[in-house]
Amino acid sequence: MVRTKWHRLIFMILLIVFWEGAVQLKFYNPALLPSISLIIESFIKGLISGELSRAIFYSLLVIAKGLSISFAIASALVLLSRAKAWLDDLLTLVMTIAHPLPGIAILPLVILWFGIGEKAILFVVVHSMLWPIVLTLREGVIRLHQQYARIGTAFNLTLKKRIYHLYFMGSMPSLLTGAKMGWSRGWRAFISAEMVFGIVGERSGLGWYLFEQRVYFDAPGLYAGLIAIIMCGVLIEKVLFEKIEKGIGLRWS
Amino acid sequence: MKRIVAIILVMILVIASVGCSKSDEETKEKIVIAEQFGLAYAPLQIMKEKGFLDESLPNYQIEWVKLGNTAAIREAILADALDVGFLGIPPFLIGYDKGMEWGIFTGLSSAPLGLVSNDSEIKGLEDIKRTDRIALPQPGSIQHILLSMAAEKTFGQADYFDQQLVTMKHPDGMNALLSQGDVRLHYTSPPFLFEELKEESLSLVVDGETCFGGDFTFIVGMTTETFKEDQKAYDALVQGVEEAVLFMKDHPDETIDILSKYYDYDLDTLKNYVYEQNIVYSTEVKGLESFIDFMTKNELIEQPIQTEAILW
Repeated sequence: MVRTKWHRLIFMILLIVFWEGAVQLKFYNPALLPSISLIIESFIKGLISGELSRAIFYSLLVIAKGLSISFAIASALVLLSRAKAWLDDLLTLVMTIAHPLPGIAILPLVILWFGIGEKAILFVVVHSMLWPIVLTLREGVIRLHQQYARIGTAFNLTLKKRIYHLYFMGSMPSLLTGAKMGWSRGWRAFISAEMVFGIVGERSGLGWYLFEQRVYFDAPGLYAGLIAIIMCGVLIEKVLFEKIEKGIGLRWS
Repeated sequence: MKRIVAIILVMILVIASVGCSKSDEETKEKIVIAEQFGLAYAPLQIMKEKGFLDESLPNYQIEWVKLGNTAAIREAILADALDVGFLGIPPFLIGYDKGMEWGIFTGLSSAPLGLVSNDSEIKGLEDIKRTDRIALPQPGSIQHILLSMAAEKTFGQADYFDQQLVTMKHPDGMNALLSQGDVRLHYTSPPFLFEELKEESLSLVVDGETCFGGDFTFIVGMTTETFKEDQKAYDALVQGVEEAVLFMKDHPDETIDILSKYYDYDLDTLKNYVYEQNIVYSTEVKGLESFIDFMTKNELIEQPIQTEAILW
Protein backbone atom coordinates (compact mmCIF):
# COMPACT_ATOMS: atom_id res chain seq x y z
CA MET A 1 0.00 0.00 0.00
CA VAL A 2 2.69 2.43 1.04
CA ARG A 3 4.74 1.49 -1.99
CA THR A 4 1.89 2.30 -4.37
CA LYS A 5 1.47 5.72 -2.82
CA TRP A 6 5.15 6.48 -3.28
CA HIS A 7 4.82 5.62 -6.91
CA ARG A 8 1.90 7.93 -7.27
CA LEU A 9 3.72 10.78 -5.64
CA ILE A 10 6.78 10.31 -7.81
CA PHE A 11 4.64 10.05 -10.91
CA MET A 12 2.87 13.32 -10.11
CA ILE A 13 6.12 15.10 -9.35
CA LEU A 14 7.67 13.83 -12.57
CA LEU A 15 4.63 14.92 -14.52
CA ILE A 16 4.89 18.41 -13.07
CA VAL A 17 8.65 18.56 -13.64
CA PHE A 18 8.35 17.45 -17.26
CA TRP A 19 5.44 19.81 -17.83
CA GLU A 20 7.17 22.84 -16.39
CA GLY A 21 10.40 21.82 -18.07
CA ALA A 22 8.70 21.76 -21.47
CA VAL A 23 7.13 25.14 -20.72
CA GLN A 24 10.37 26.75 -19.56
CA LEU A 25 12.35 25.39 -22.50
CA LYS A 26 9.64 26.82 -24.76
CA PHE A 27 9.25 23.40 -26.28
CA TYR A 28 5.73 24.29 -27.32
CA ASN A 29 3.85 27.50 -27.96
CA PRO A 30 2.44 28.75 -24.62
CA ALA A 31 -0.99 28.73 -26.21
CA LEU A 32 -0.60 24.95 -26.45
CA LEU A 33 1.07 24.22 -23.16
CA PRO A 34 0.65 26.95 -20.54
CA SER A 35 2.64 26.81 -17.33
CA ILE A 36 1.09 25.07 -14.35
CA SER A 37 1.01 28.23 -12.26
CA LEU A 38 -1.09 29.93 -14.97
CA ILE A 39 -3.50 27.00 -14.99
CA ILE A 40 -3.88 27.06 -11.21
CA GLU A 41 -4.31 30.81 -11.32
CA SER A 42 -7.04 30.46 -13.94
CA PHE A 43 -8.69 27.71 -11.89
CA ILE A 44 -8.77 29.78 -8.71
CA LYS A 45 -9.86 32.90 -10.58
CA GLY A 46 -12.70 30.93 -12.12
CA LEU A 47 -13.77 29.64 -8.73
CA ILE A 48 -13.71 33.07 -7.15
CA SER A 49 -15.34 34.96 -9.99
CA GLY A 50 -18.07 32.34 -9.92
CA GLU A 51 -17.82 31.44 -13.59
CA LEU A 52 -16.23 28.08 -12.92
CA SER A 53 -17.88 27.40 -9.58
CA ARG A 54 -21.31 28.05 -11.06
CA ALA A 55 -20.50 25.71 -13.94
CA ILE A 56 -19.44 22.99 -11.50
CA PHE A 57 -22.49 23.48 -9.33
CA TYR A 58 -24.87 23.47 -12.26
CA SER A 59 -23.27 20.37 -13.78
CA LEU A 60 -23.65 18.45 -10.53
CA LEU A 61 -27.20 19.74 -10.16
CA VAL A 62 -28.18 18.46 -13.60
CA ILE A 63 -26.62 15.09 -12.80
CA ALA A 64 -28.42 14.91 -9.46
CA LYS A 65 -31.71 15.77 -11.15
CA GLY A 66 -31.03 13.24 -13.86
CA LEU A 67 -30.24 10.53 -11.33
CA SER A 68 -33.41 11.13 -9.31
CA ILE A 69 -35.60 11.11 -12.40
CA SER A 70 -33.86 8.03 -13.77
CA PHE A 71 -34.26 6.14 -10.52
CA ALA A 72 -37.93 7.05 -10.25
CA ILE A 73 -38.59 5.85 -13.80
CA ALA A 74 -36.37 2.80 -13.44
CA SER A 75 -38.07 1.67 -10.21
CA ALA A 76 -41.48 2.04 -11.78
CA LEU A 77 -40.40 0.12 -14.87
CA VAL A 78 -38.82 -2.70 -12.90
CA LEU A 79 -41.82 -3.00 -10.56
CA LEU A 80 -44.11 -3.18 -13.57
CA SER A 81 -41.93 -5.72 -15.28
CA ARG A 82 -42.13 -8.00 -12.25
CA ALA A 83 -45.93 -7.95 -12.40
CA LYS A 84 -46.41 -9.62 -15.79
CA ALA A 85 -44.10 -11.66 -17.92
CA TRP A 86 -45.12 -9.91 -21.13
CA LEU A 87 -44.32 -6.52 -19.55
CA ASP A 88 -40.88 -7.80 -18.68
CA ASP A 89 -40.45 -8.98 -22.24
CA LEU A 90 -41.46 -5.55 -23.54
CA LEU A 91 -39.02 -3.86 -21.19
CA THR A 92 -36.24 -6.10 -22.41
CA LEU A 93 -37.15 -5.21 -25.98
CA VAL A 94 -37.16 -1.46 -25.28
CA MET A 95 -33.83 -1.78 -23.50
CA THR A 96 -32.33 -3.66 -26.41
CA ILE A 97 -33.37 -0.82 -28.69
CA ALA A 98 -32.49 2.13 -26.46
CA HIS A 99 -29.44 0.97 -24.56
CA PRO A 100 -26.91 1.08 -27.42
CA LEU A 101 -27.91 4.63 -28.38
CA PRO A 102 -25.41 7.12 -26.95
CA GLY A 103 -27.10 10.17 -25.45
CA ILE A 104 -25.24 12.53 -27.72
CA ALA A 105 -26.54 10.68 -30.79
CA ILE A 106 -30.16 11.47 -30.00
CA LEU A 107 -29.52 15.13 -29.16
CA PRO A 108 -30.38 16.50 -32.62
CA LEU A 109 -33.71 14.72 -32.38
CA VAL A 110 -34.26 15.86 -28.82
CA ILE A 111 -33.68 19.48 -29.86
CA LEU A 112 -36.41 19.15 -32.45
CA TRP A 113 -38.79 17.81 -29.81
CA PHE A 114 -37.92 19.83 -26.75
CA GLY A 115 -36.16 22.85 -28.16
CA ILE A 116 -32.89 23.97 -26.72
CA GLY A 117 -32.40 24.39 -23.04
CA GLU A 118 -32.37 22.46 -19.84
CA LYS A 119 -35.19 20.14 -20.86
CA ALA A 120 -33.28 18.85 -23.86
CA ILE A 121 -30.07 18.38 -21.90
CA LEU A 122 -31.92 16.67 -19.07
CA PHE A 123 -33.58 14.32 -21.53
CA VAL A 124 -30.23 13.29 -22.95
CA VAL A 125 -28.78 12.81 -19.47
CA VAL A 126 -31.75 10.74 -18.31
CA HIS A 127 -31.59 8.63 -21.46
CA SER A 128 -27.91 7.93 -20.83
CA MET A 129 -28.51 7.00 -17.20
CA LEU A 130 -31.83 5.22 -17.33
CA TRP A 131 -31.03 2.06 -19.26
CA PRO A 132 -27.97 0.92 -17.32
CA ILE A 133 -29.89 1.63 -14.12
CA VAL A 134 -32.92 -0.36 -15.27
CA LEU A 135 -30.63 -3.18 -16.30
CA THR A 136 -28.81 -3.50 -12.99
CA LEU A 137 -31.97 -2.91 -10.97
CA ARG A 138 -33.87 -5.59 -12.85
CA GLU A 139 -31.07 -8.08 -12.46
CA GLY A 140 -30.83 -7.28 -8.76
CA VAL A 141 -34.52 -7.80 -8.24
CA ILE A 142 -34.51 -11.10 -10.13
CA ARG A 143 -31.60 -12.31 -8.03
CA LEU A 144 -33.38 -11.23 -4.87
CA HIS A 145 -36.54 -12.91 -5.96
CA GLN A 146 -34.76 -16.20 -6.42
CA GLN A 147 -33.10 -15.89 -3.04
CA TYR A 148 -35.82 -14.47 -0.88
CA ALA A 149 -39.16 -15.21 -2.50
CA ARG A 150 -39.75 -18.10 -0.17
CA ILE A 151 -39.08 -15.99 2.90
CA GLY A 152 -41.85 -13.67 1.81
CA THR A 153 -44.23 -16.56 1.46
CA ALA A 154 -43.09 -18.37 4.58
CA PHE A 155 -43.46 -15.32 6.80
CA ASN A 156 -46.60 -14.26 5.03
CA LEU A 157 -45.36 -10.71 4.45
CA THR A 158 -47.68 -8.03 3.08
CA LEU A 159 -46.88 -6.56 -0.32
CA LYS A 160 -45.76 -3.30 1.32
CA LYS A 161 -43.32 -5.06 3.58
CA ARG A 162 -42.12 -7.22 0.77
CA ILE A 163 -41.39 -4.21 -1.42
CA TYR A 164 -39.57 -2.33 1.31
CA HIS A 165 -37.72 -5.00 3.23
CA LEU A 166 -37.00 -7.47 0.51
CA TYR A 167 -36.94 -5.59 -2.72
CA PHE A 168 -35.85 -2.10 -1.74
CA MET A 169 -33.34 -2.95 0.97
CA GLY A 170 -32.26 -6.03 -0.91
CA SER A 171 -31.65 -4.12 -4.10
CA MET A 172 -29.42 -1.52 -2.45
CA PRO A 173 -26.22 -3.00 -3.86
CA SER A 174 -27.62 -3.05 -7.39
CA LEU A 175 -29.03 0.44 -6.84
CA LEU A 176 -25.52 1.55 -6.07
CA THR A 177 -24.02 -0.22 -9.07
CA GLY A 178 -26.75 1.37 -11.18
CA ALA A 179 -26.08 4.78 -9.71
CA LYS A 180 -22.39 4.44 -10.48
CA MET A 181 -23.00 3.44 -14.07
CA GLY A 182 -25.71 6.03 -14.46
CA TRP A 183 -23.49 8.73 -13.07
CA SER A 184 -20.54 7.98 -15.30
CA ARG A 185 -22.64 7.73 -18.45
CA GLY A 186 -24.76 10.78 -17.62
CA TRP A 187 -21.71 12.85 -16.74
CA ARG A 188 -20.04 12.09 -20.06
CA ALA A 189 -23.25 12.69 -21.99
CA PHE A 190 -23.85 16.00 -20.27
CA ILE A 191 -20.40 17.37 -20.91
CA SER A 192 -20.28 16.28 -24.51
CA ALA A 193 -23.81 17.53 -25.22
CA GLU A 194 -22.91 20.99 -23.98
CA MET A 195 -19.67 21.00 -25.93
CA VAL A 196 -20.88 19.63 -29.22
CA PHE A 197 -24.12 21.52 -29.49
CA GLY A 198 -23.11 24.62 -27.64
CA ILE A 199 -26.31 24.83 -25.74
CA VAL A 200 -26.34 27.54 -23.17
CA GLY A 201 -29.14 28.93 -21.09
CA GLU A 202 -29.46 31.12 -18.07
CA ARG A 203 -27.13 28.60 -16.53
CA SER A 204 -24.52 26.40 -18.10
CA GLY A 205 -22.20 23.65 -17.02
CA LEU A 206 -18.65 22.49 -17.48
CA GLY A 207 -19.07 21.42 -21.10
CA TRP A 208 -20.02 24.93 -22.10
CA TYR A 209 -17.22 26.30 -19.92
CA LEU A 210 -14.73 24.24 -21.90
CA PHE A 211 -16.31 25.29 -25.17
CA GLU A 212 -16.08 28.94 -24.18
CA GLN A 213 -12.42 28.61 -23.26
CA ARG A 214 -11.88 27.04 -26.65
CA VAL A 215 -13.55 29.79 -28.69
CA TYR A 216 -11.78 32.46 -26.66
CA PHE A 217 -8.58 30.50 -27.10
CA ASP A 218 -7.79 30.48 -23.41
CA ALA A 219 -5.46 27.52 -22.88
CA PRO A 220 -5.02 27.91 -19.09
CA GLY A 221 -8.81 28.15 -18.80
CA LEU A 222 -9.19 25.01 -20.89
CA TYR A 223 -6.88 23.07 -18.60
CA ALA A 224 -8.61 24.56 -15.55
CA GLY A 225 -11.93 23.27 -16.89
CA LEU A 226 -10.43 19.82 -17.35
CA ILE A 227 -9.14 19.87 -13.79
CA ALA A 228 -12.61 20.76 -12.57
CA ILE A 229 -14.10 17.84 -14.50
CA ILE A 230 -11.50 15.43 -13.13
CA MET A 231 -12.02 16.71 -9.60
CA CYS A 232 -15.78 16.27 -9.80
CA GLY A 233 -15.29 12.75 -11.12
CA VAL A 234 -12.81 11.77 -8.42
CA LEU A 235 -14.91 13.35 -5.70
CA ILE A 236 -18.03 11.48 -6.69
CA GLU A 237 -16.56 8.17 -7.75
CA LYS A 238 -13.83 7.79 -5.17
CA VAL A 239 -15.26 9.67 -2.22
CA LEU A 240 -19.04 9.66 -2.37
CA PHE A 241 -19.69 6.24 -3.86
CA GLU A 242 -16.97 4.52 -1.88
CA LYS A 243 -18.37 5.94 1.32
CA ILE A 244 -21.88 4.78 0.53
CA GLU A 245 -20.52 1.41 -0.50
CA LYS A 246 -18.76 1.02 2.82
CA GLY A 247 -21.91 2.00 4.68
CA ILE A 248 -23.96 -0.58 2.83
CA GLY A 249 -21.20 -3.14 2.92
CA LEU A 250 -21.35 -3.21 6.70
CA ARG A 251 -24.98 -4.17 6.63
CA TRP A 252 -24.85 -6.59 3.78
CA SER A 253 -21.72 -8.55 4.25
CA MET B 1 13.22 1.57 -8.81
CA LYS B 2 12.78 -0.31 -12.06
CA ARG B 3 9.26 1.03 -12.34
CA ILE B 4 10.40 4.58 -11.84
CA VAL B 5 12.92 4.17 -14.59
CA ALA B 6 10.20 2.72 -16.78
CA ILE B 7 7.92 5.67 -16.11
CA ILE B 8 10.68 8.13 -16.94
CA LEU B 9 11.47 6.27 -20.14
CA VAL B 10 7.83 6.27 -21.23
CA MET B 11 7.52 9.99 -20.58
CA ILE B 12 10.66 10.80 -22.51
CA LEU B 13 9.42 8.66 -25.37
CA VAL B 14 6.04 10.37 -25.42
CA ILE B 15 7.47 13.87 -25.40
CA ALA B 16 10.12 13.00 -27.94
CA SER B 17 7.66 11.38 -30.30
CA VAL B 18 5.31 14.37 -30.17
CA GLY B 19 8.25 16.66 -30.79
CA CYS B 20 9.45 14.58 -33.74
CA SER B 21 6.12 14.31 -35.44
CA LYS B 22 5.87 18.08 -35.27
CA SER B 23 9.12 18.71 -37.04
CA ASP B 24 8.27 16.09 -39.64
CA GLU B 25 5.25 18.06 -40.72
CA GLU B 26 7.28 21.14 -41.47
CA THR B 27 8.03 20.04 -44.99
CA LYS B 28 8.75 23.26 -46.81
CA GLU B 29 7.34 22.46 -50.19
CA LYS B 30 3.76 22.23 -49.07
CA ILE B 31 1.27 25.02 -48.42
CA VAL B 32 -1.90 24.12 -46.59
CA ILE B 33 -4.79 26.57 -46.93
CA ALA B 34 -8.11 26.39 -45.11
CA GLU B 35 -11.11 26.85 -47.28
CA GLN B 36 -14.45 27.89 -45.84
CA PHE B 37 -18.00 27.86 -47.06
CA GLY B 38 -19.79 31.17 -47.63
CA LEU B 39 -20.05 33.70 -50.43
CA ALA B 40 -17.64 36.00 -48.63
CA TYR B 41 -14.93 33.43 -49.34
CA ALA B 42 -15.64 33.30 -53.08
CA PRO B 43 -12.18 34.58 -54.18
CA LEU B 44 -10.68 31.50 -52.51
CA GLN B 45 -12.68 29.17 -54.68
CA ILE B 46 -11.65 31.19 -57.75
CA MET B 47 -8.02 31.08 -56.69
CA LYS B 48 -8.23 27.34 -56.17
CA GLU B 49 -10.05 26.50 -59.41
CA LYS B 50 -7.99 28.86 -61.57
CA GLY B 51 -4.83 27.51 -60.00
CA PHE B 52 -3.27 30.95 -59.48
CA LEU B 53 -1.02 29.66 -56.73
CA ASP B 54 -0.03 26.49 -58.55
CA GLU B 55 0.99 28.67 -61.48
CA SER B 56 3.24 31.02 -59.55
CA LEU B 57 4.64 28.34 -57.25
CA PRO B 58 5.27 25.29 -59.42
CA ASN B 59 7.61 23.75 -56.84
CA TYR B 60 5.04 23.82 -54.11
CA GLN B 61 2.22 21.49 -53.41
CA ILE B 62 -0.92 23.46 -52.58
CA GLU B 63 -3.32 21.64 -50.32
CA TRP B 64 -6.81 22.89 -49.56
CA VAL B 65 -8.52 21.66 -46.41
CA LYS B 66 -11.96 22.27 -44.99
CA LEU B 67 -12.21 23.11 -41.30
CA GLY B 68 -15.35 23.41 -39.21
CA ASN B 69 -14.94 26.80 -37.62
CA THR B 70 -12.50 29.53 -36.70
CA ALA B 71 -11.45 27.79 -33.49
CA ALA B 72 -10.42 24.79 -35.58
CA ILE B 73 -8.37 27.08 -37.85
CA ARG B 74 -6.47 28.50 -34.89
CA GLU B 75 -5.86 25.05 -33.47
CA ALA B 76 -4.67 23.70 -36.83
CA ILE B 77 -2.25 26.61 -37.22
CA LEU B 78 -0.85 26.05 -33.74
CA ALA B 79 -0.48 22.34 -34.47
CA ASP B 80 1.49 23.29 -37.58
CA ALA B 81 -1.04 21.56 -39.78
CA LEU B 82 -2.14 24.75 -41.55
CA ASP B 83 -0.34 27.72 -43.10
CA VAL B 84 -3.07 30.02 -44.32
CA GLY B 85 -6.59 30.67 -43.07
CA PHE B 86 -9.40 33.11 -43.74
CA LEU B 87 -11.62 34.36 -40.96
CA GLY B 88 -13.29 37.32 -39.30
CA ILE B 89 -11.15 39.96 -37.62
CA PRO B 90 -12.28 39.24 -33.99
CA PRO B 91 -11.25 35.56 -33.87
CA PHE B 92 -7.95 36.53 -35.43
CA LEU B 93 -7.39 39.14 -32.70
CA ILE B 94 -8.25 36.66 -29.95
CA GLY B 95 -5.62 34.26 -31.27
CA TYR B 96 -3.02 37.01 -31.59
CA ASP B 97 -3.74 38.19 -28.06
CA LYS B 98 -3.16 34.68 -26.74
CA GLY B 99 0.29 34.54 -28.23
CA MET B 100 -0.19 33.22 -31.76
CA GLU B 101 2.44 34.51 -34.12
CA TRP B 102 0.36 35.41 -37.11
CA GLY B 103 -0.74 38.41 -39.09
CA ILE B 104 -3.18 39.66 -41.69
CA PHE B 105 -1.75 39.53 -45.20
CA THR B 106 -4.86 40.59 -47.04
CA GLY B 107 -8.48 41.57 -46.78
CA LEU B 108 -10.89 39.37 -48.69
CA SER B 109 -14.38 40.77 -48.53
CA SER B 110 -16.90 43.04 -46.91
CA ALA B 111 -20.43 41.74 -46.76
CA PRO B 112 -23.79 42.63 -45.35
CA LEU B 113 -24.31 40.77 -42.09
CA GLY B 114 -27.42 40.98 -40.00
CA LEU B 115 -29.57 39.91 -37.12
CA VAL B 116 -32.72 38.23 -38.42
CA SER B 117 -35.82 37.46 -36.39
CA ASN B 118 -38.84 35.23 -36.93
CA ASP B 119 -40.99 37.42 -34.71
CA SER B 120 -42.49 40.41 -36.49
CA GLU B 121 -42.90 42.11 -33.11
CA ILE B 122 -39.14 42.44 -32.82
CA LYS B 123 -38.20 45.62 -34.64
CA GLY B 124 -35.15 46.62 -32.66
CA LEU B 125 -32.84 45.27 -29.97
CA GLU B 126 -35.04 46.67 -27.21
CA ASP B 127 -37.90 44.40 -28.33
CA ILE B 128 -35.88 41.26 -27.68
CA LYS B 129 -37.12 39.42 -24.62
CA ARG B 130 -34.76 37.82 -22.11
CA THR B 131 -36.13 34.41 -23.03
CA ASP B 132 -35.55 34.81 -26.78
CA ARG B 133 -32.62 32.75 -27.95
CA ILE B 134 -30.10 34.19 -30.38
CA ALA B 135 -28.26 31.77 -32.66
CA LEU B 136 -24.81 32.65 -33.97
CA PRO B 137 -21.68 30.69 -34.96
CA GLN B 138 -19.92 30.98 -31.59
CA PRO B 139 -18.91 33.41 -28.86
CA GLY B 140 -16.01 35.54 -30.03
CA SER B 141 -17.08 35.30 -33.67
CA ILE B 142 -17.55 38.47 -35.70
CA GLN B 143 -21.31 37.99 -35.44
CA HIS B 144 -21.07 37.90 -31.65
CA ILE B 145 -18.85 40.98 -31.53
CA LEU B 146 -21.20 42.93 -33.82
CA LEU B 147 -24.13 41.96 -31.60
CA SER B 148 -22.18 43.06 -28.52
CA MET B 149 -21.36 46.38 -30.21
CA ALA B 150 -25.06 46.96 -30.88
CA ALA B 151 -25.94 45.92 -27.33
CA GLU B 152 -23.44 48.40 -25.97
CA LYS B 153 -24.97 51.17 -28.07
CA THR B 154 -28.53 50.29 -27.05
CA PHE B 155 -28.16 49.20 -23.43
CA GLY B 156 -24.71 50.45 -22.51
CA GLN B 157 -23.75 46.87 -21.77
CA ALA B 158 -21.80 44.83 -24.33
CA ASP B 159 -22.53 41.43 -22.78
CA TYR B 160 -26.26 42.15 -22.50
CA PHE B 161 -27.26 39.17 -24.67
CA ASP B 162 -24.49 36.75 -23.69
CA GLN B 163 -26.80 34.55 -21.61
CA GLN B 164 -29.18 34.10 -24.54
CA LEU B 165 -26.75 32.84 -27.14
CA VAL B 166 -26.95 29.49 -28.86
CA THR B 167 -23.98 28.27 -30.84
CA MET B 168 -25.13 27.08 -34.24
CA LYS B 169 -23.65 26.75 -37.67
CA HIS B 170 -25.38 29.03 -40.18
CA PRO B 171 -27.58 26.36 -41.83
CA ASP B 172 -28.70 25.06 -38.42
CA GLY B 173 -29.45 28.57 -37.26
CA MET B 174 -31.56 29.17 -40.33
CA ASN B 175 -33.50 25.95 -39.77
CA ALA B 176 -33.99 26.83 -36.13
CA LEU B 177 -35.47 30.21 -37.11
CA LEU B 178 -37.80 28.65 -39.65
CA SER B 179 -39.01 25.97 -37.24
CA GLN B 180 -40.27 28.70 -34.89
CA GLY B 181 -38.81 27.07 -31.78
CA ASP B 182 -36.93 28.74 -28.95
CA VAL B 183 -34.56 30.45 -31.36
CA ARG B 184 -36.08 33.80 -32.18
CA LEU B 185 -33.04 35.45 -33.74
CA HIS B 186 -30.09 34.52 -35.89
CA TYR B 187 -27.00 36.64 -36.54
CA THR B 188 -25.83 35.48 -39.92
CA SER B 189 -23.97 36.25 -43.11
CA PRO B 190 -24.43 35.62 -46.87
CA PRO B 191 -25.73 33.46 -48.48
CA PHE B 192 -27.80 32.53 -45.42
CA LEU B 193 -28.73 36.14 -44.75
CA PHE B 194 -30.07 36.49 -48.29
CA GLU B 195 -31.97 33.23 -48.06
CA GLU B 196 -33.52 34.17 -44.74
CA LEU B 197 -34.60 37.61 -45.87
CA LYS B 198 -36.45 36.00 -48.76
CA GLU B 199 -38.74 34.27 -46.28
CA GLU B 200 -41.88 36.18 -45.46
CA SER B 201 -41.88 35.11 -41.82
CA LEU B 202 -38.37 36.47 -41.23
CA SER B 203 -37.23 40.07 -41.03
CA LEU B 204 -34.02 41.99 -40.44
CA VAL B 205 -33.69 43.53 -36.98
CA VAL B 206 -30.35 45.26 -37.39
CA ASP B 207 -27.59 45.03 -39.98
CA GLY B 208 -23.86 44.67 -39.38
CA GLU B 209 -22.93 48.14 -40.53
CA THR B 210 -25.32 49.74 -38.04
CA CYS B 211 -23.94 47.55 -35.25
CA PHE B 212 -20.39 48.47 -36.18
CA GLY B 213 -21.09 52.08 -37.00
CA GLY B 214 -19.54 52.05 -40.46
CA ASP B 215 -17.77 49.93 -43.05
CA PHE B 216 -15.70 46.97 -41.99
CA THR B 217 -13.96 44.04 -43.58
CA PHE B 218 -15.76 40.79 -42.91
CA ILE B 219 -13.12 38.23 -43.87
CA VAL B 220 -9.36 38.66 -43.75
CA GLY B 221 -6.59 36.29 -44.79
CA MET B 222 -3.96 35.43 -42.25
CA THR B 223 -0.80 33.43 -42.12
CA THR B 224 2.04 32.67 -39.72
CA GLU B 225 5.34 34.47 -39.25
CA THR B 226 7.11 31.28 -40.26
CA PHE B 227 5.29 31.25 -43.58
CA LYS B 228 6.00 34.93 -44.13
CA GLU B 229 9.72 34.22 -43.98
CA ASP B 230 9.40 32.31 -47.24
CA GLN B 231 9.24 35.54 -49.23
CA LYS B 232 8.51 33.89 -52.56
CA ALA B 233 5.57 31.86 -51.32
CA TYR B 234 4.26 34.78 -49.29
CA ASP B 235 4.34 37.15 -52.26
CA ALA B 236 2.65 34.57 -54.45
CA LEU B 237 -0.08 34.17 -51.86
CA VAL B 238 -0.76 37.90 -51.61
CA GLN B 239 -0.75 38.14 -55.37
CA GLY B 240 -2.97 35.10 -55.78
CA VAL B 241 -5.73 36.68 -53.71
CA GLU B 242 -5.40 39.96 -55.63
CA GLU B 243 -5.58 38.10 -58.90
CA ALA B 244 -8.69 36.24 -57.79
CA VAL B 245 -10.43 39.44 -56.70
CA LEU B 246 -9.58 41.08 -60.04
CA PHE B 247 -10.70 38.02 -61.94
CA MET B 248 -14.08 38.17 -60.26
CA LYS B 249 -14.47 41.77 -61.38
CA ASP B 250 -13.41 41.15 -64.96
CA HIS B 251 -15.01 37.79 -65.66
CA PRO B 252 -18.40 37.64 -63.96
CA ASP B 253 -19.75 34.84 -66.14
CA GLU B 254 -16.83 32.50 -65.62
CA THR B 255 -16.81 33.40 -61.92
CA ILE B 256 -20.43 32.37 -61.55
CA ASP B 257 -19.73 29.24 -63.51
CA ILE B 258 -16.94 28.25 -61.14
CA LEU B 259 -18.85 29.19 -58.01
CA SER B 260 -21.90 27.21 -59.06
CA LYS B 261 -19.82 24.09 -58.38
CA TYR B 262 -19.59 25.13 -54.75
CA TYR B 263 -22.89 26.85 -54.09
CA ASP B 264 -26.04 25.04 -54.88
CA TYR B 265 -28.09 27.89 -56.34
CA ASP B 266 -29.30 28.48 -59.87
CA LEU B 267 -27.03 30.75 -61.88
CA ASP B 268 -29.24 33.85 -61.73
CA THR B 269 -29.61 33.67 -57.97
CA LEU B 270 -25.91 33.14 -57.55
CA LYS B 271 -25.11 36.07 -59.84
CA ASN B 272 -27.49 38.22 -57.88
CA TYR B 273 -25.90 37.19 -54.57
CA VAL B 274 -22.34 37.70 -55.68
CA TYR B 275 -22.69 40.89 -57.68
CA GLU B 276 -25.85 42.70 -56.67
CA GLN B 277 -26.18 42.38 -52.91
CA ASN B 278 -23.37 44.57 -51.66
CA ILE B 279 -20.71 41.96 -51.10
CA VAL B 280 -17.49 43.80 -51.88
CA TYR B 281 -14.45 41.70 -52.70
CA SER B 282 -11.36 43.70 -51.90
CA THR B 283 -7.91 43.20 -50.44
CA GLU B 284 -8.27 46.35 -48.38
CA VAL B 285 -8.71 45.87 -44.61
CA LYS B 286 -11.20 48.21 -42.98
CA GLY B 287 -12.33 48.64 -39.40
CA LEU B 288 -9.41 46.85 -37.75
CA GLU B 289 -8.85 49.60 -35.19
CA SER B 290 -12.47 49.79 -34.13
CA PHE B 291 -12.49 46.04 -33.50
CA ILE B 292 -9.29 46.32 -31.46
CA ASP B 293 -10.67 49.23 -29.44
CA PHE B 294 -13.97 47.57 -28.71
CA MET B 295 -12.47 44.22 -27.80
CA THR B 296 -9.80 45.81 -25.62
CA LYS B 297 -12.40 47.88 -23.81
CA ASN B 298 -14.52 44.81 -23.14
CA GLU B 299 -11.57 42.70 -22.05
CA LEU B 300 -11.87 40.22 -24.89
CA ILE B 301 -8.24 40.98 -25.58
CA GLU B 302 -5.84 41.72 -22.76
CA GLN B 303 -2.69 43.05 -24.37
CA PRO B 304 -2.47 46.29 -26.31
CA ILE B 305 -2.34 45.50 -30.02
CA GLN B 306 -0.72 47.79 -32.60
CA THR B 307 -2.30 47.63 -36.03
CA GLU B 308 1.13 47.90 -37.70
CA ALA B 309 2.20 44.69 -35.97
CA ILE B 310 -0.66 42.61 -37.30
CA LEU B 311 -1.45 44.20 -40.67
CA TRP B 312 1.37 43.07 -42.92
